[in-house]
Amino acid sequence: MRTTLRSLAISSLMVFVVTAAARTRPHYGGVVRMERSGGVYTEDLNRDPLVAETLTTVDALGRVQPLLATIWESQNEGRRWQFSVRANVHFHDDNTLTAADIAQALNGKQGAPWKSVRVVGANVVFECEDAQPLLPELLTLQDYAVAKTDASGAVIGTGPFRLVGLVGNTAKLAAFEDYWQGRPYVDAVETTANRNLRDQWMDLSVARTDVVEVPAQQVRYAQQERMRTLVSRNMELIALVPSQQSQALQDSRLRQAISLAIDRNSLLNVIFQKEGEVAAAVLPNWMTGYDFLFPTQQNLVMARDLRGQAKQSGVITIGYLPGDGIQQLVAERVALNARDAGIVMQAVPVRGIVHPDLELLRVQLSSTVPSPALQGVSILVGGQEGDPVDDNLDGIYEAERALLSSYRVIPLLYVPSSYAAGSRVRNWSLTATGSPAVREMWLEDRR
Amino acid sequence: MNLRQRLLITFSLVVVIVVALVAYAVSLRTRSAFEQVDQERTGALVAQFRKEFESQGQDVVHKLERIARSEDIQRLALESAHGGEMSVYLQQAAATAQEYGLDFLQILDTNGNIISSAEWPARFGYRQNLPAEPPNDAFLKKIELPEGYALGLIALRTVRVGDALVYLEGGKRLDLQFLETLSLPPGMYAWLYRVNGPKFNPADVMGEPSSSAAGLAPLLNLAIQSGSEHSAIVQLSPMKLDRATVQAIPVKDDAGEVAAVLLAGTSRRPLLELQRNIRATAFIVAGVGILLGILISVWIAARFSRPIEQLAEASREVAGGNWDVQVQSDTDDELQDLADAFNAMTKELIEQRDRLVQTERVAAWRELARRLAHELKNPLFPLQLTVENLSRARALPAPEFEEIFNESSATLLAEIQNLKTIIARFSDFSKMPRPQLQPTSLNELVQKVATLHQAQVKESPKAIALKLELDRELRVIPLDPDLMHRVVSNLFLNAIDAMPKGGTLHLRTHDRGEYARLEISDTGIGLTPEERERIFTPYYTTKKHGTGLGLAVVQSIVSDHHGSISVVSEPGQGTTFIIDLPKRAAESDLASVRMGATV
Repeated sequence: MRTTLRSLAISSLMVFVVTAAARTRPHYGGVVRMERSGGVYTEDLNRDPLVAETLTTVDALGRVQPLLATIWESQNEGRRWQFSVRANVHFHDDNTLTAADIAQALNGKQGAPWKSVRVVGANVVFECEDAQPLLPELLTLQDYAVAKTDASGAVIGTGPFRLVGLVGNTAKLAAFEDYWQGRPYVDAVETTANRNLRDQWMDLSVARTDVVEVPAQQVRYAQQERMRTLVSRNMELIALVPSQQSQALQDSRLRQAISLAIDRNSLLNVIFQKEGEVAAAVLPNWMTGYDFLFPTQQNLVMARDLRGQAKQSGVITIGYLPGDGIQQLVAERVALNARDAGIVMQAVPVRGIVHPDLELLRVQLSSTVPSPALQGVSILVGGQEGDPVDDNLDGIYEAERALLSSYRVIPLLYVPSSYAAGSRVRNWSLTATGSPAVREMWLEDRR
Repeated sequence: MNLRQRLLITFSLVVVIVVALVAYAVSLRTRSAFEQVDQERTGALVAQFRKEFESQGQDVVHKLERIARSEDIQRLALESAHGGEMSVYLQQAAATAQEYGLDFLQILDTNGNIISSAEWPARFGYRQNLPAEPPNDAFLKKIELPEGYALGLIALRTVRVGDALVYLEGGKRLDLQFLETLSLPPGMYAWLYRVNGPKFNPADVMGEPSSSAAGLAPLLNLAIQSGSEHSAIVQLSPMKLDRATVQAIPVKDDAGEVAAVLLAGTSRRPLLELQRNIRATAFIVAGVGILLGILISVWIAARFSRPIEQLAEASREVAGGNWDVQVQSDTDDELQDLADAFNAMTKELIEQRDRLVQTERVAAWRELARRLAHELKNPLFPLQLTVENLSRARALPAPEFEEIFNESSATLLAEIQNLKTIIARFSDFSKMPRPQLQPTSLNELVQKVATLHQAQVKESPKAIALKLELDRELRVIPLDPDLMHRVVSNLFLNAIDAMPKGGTLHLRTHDRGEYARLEISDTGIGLTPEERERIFTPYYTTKKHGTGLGLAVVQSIVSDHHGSISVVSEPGQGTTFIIDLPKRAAESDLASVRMGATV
């Protein structure tokens, strides 16, 4: 009897241990459901790293690493770059990736710094008119992902997932079995767009979804509510961009006065609940380390002085997206701060053809590498492509200083990206650019 | 303007004035009654507004007290007292305001710094002035918002934790919804003007389309500046009847400033429509009155003015020489008496004229007899003496008798010739011929007379100057040239006779429209007034040897030409004879003119 009982106990213990081990061990299968507040998913499918990949990528430390290219070298002082194409990489239509595919995808890319992309054997050669010392870094941008389209216009990439369907606001990506880095753990990813935050959180609480967004200002609350949140590095720049057409802001002294009048610490501490950092530079401090060189303190005395020197005709309008409460709050706060400096400013919702004098932009960094990130931001805030930036901190600083000196962009804050995951999500992590690392995650239960 | 027209105008004026006075009096009385009702209704509305204001204020106070006791606010106050993190309460005011149905709510710390604001969340950290002693009741306050100002019915409460204080300032928006809680009688409006700066802004008028709000500006400015009630009539839209009597009642905030103005309006449409009806009725009555006036005036004219007009016509005929006129009247009143008197007057005039003619005729015969006797007596006396002398001479010797006989025969023949001449003159005067009219140039005729008597002018013992002033524009006129030659000659010679000491003889012709004028002036001895009176009387003369028929003949000829002759003279100032002759012949003379023209 005792022997029987002992055997039974040992068996039960073994079953428990095996079951527990099975829970912590990655396994395949399941559909991970994600919700987002943004627009329809397929609009920029080729920019999704789950679908389309780039020649190079960056690791968690911000270093450039090979992806579709294995090695590269520069010639002619950076005017010519040769990239070796990774072998045994397949598109979602089972065709093997070739140098010709890359040349076809990247030739004629709008805004690209190269003149042409040629095929030389198994390599692709980028010919540039000017020296492009940072081309490998630049190629980490998802803008230069390698993808093609089929007869129906569907995007075909080499990423770990492929698009299999779109119903309403929900896009379904299926795991790509022949992915060159190995099949993802989950069978599919369903991403539902245009979900407001309250609905996302509600769905997460009743296990109707697996991954939801957490705005920076809600991170503290989400953590208090014991949600499984992950916060990225500060990847999103919030900045004011004076309109080029604005007559009211033609005088740079007025733009400078606005910059000096803003109490960035209040914006960060109260509105964003201390998630992020105040910013007077375009790039975040973790990327450059020289943020202290750009003062962020409010200086109403100097702001009033500059306001007195400059001419202001009429009310300066600062636009925000209707329905975005945080943007409206930031815009109204900026208007209040400006009023303290004697600047008449009013926050207005941007609808239709309304062009405010100041636009409140939220810019997601496209790269964790300073120079392409700065170039990306420059293009977004200034509408023009910046000059190539030297691959050193001095060069980046000079470029950033030049960008800020005209006050055509007034940085306010850097805030992180944050997500919360449901309880069945395992290996829950974020990529270097702050998005959920779907390829690495697996689900506890199969569905 | 005749009597009939005057009567018509008088009647119409009387009717119009009476109707206008009645209409005005009725309008005045109606307006007064309406204004009294307006005042009562406005007073009721203001009382209702105040009651609603008080009721809503109490509601706000109760809600704020419940908020102050709520768990969230107690926790917030506790954390505030212990220096806790206040930023996490950024959205607290908005959430609480929504929960308790308030439009405004601000949570402030001990120093008045805003912890959370429902109406302007971005104002966190800004300081707000707080009263030393929070008022118990709700009060009106201008609430600053990002887009401007709003009116709020606000209350203030405190939450005390230890030494720390948290202030709650909240309330409701005083807006269109608040106004809609007022039950307004038909035709009455209630608006609320939010005082938002010195300049009138139509958008700040709540409850009124902005198109008609502009008319309220003067009244609002007056009420805001004076801080007291005022009223005015305001045009609410371009439609004429869309007017209202508006009472502006300033509402002051906790600082004693005019924060809003309650506008209680009463439509004047019913009054204006009633006044329009009264006016329309008055116009109809006046129109009927004027019609009646016309009829009455026509009747009165038939009754009164027609006999008067007949009398006037008869008078004109009498004045024209027809005295044989009788006025018929069948009335039995003063007009009949007037007609009888007129008829009696014309009868009397005719009788007097007949008597006068008879008398004048006798006098003329007497004068004729006297003149004839006088004229005949002069030659008869020499005849008598000559015959007596011949009788006595028969006794004388034949030679002497022969001589006396011859002389006496000569004298007798001469006197008999004289008697013949006298008789011939009288005969001529009695046989004055009718003028044979023919187109004749008066200028040429005058010129001919002057030429004919040129010698007599020159032979005058004293120098006489002859001046001719003939109007060249004067064309031929119908005249009997012989008779008119006689007229001009007579007057010409008379003028020479009147200037024994010389002088100037002036002959002038004028074209006087329908008449041709001839003036013969001298600068002679002139005439006395008595002589002027009688100068055209037959047989009256101022000359020693005149017959007194010359000017009578002249007058007769001129009269036969349908002309007129007059004399202007003063003793010693000379004499002017003025003859006016018609330029067109009378109908009765046309035949002779034509005949004369063809001869």
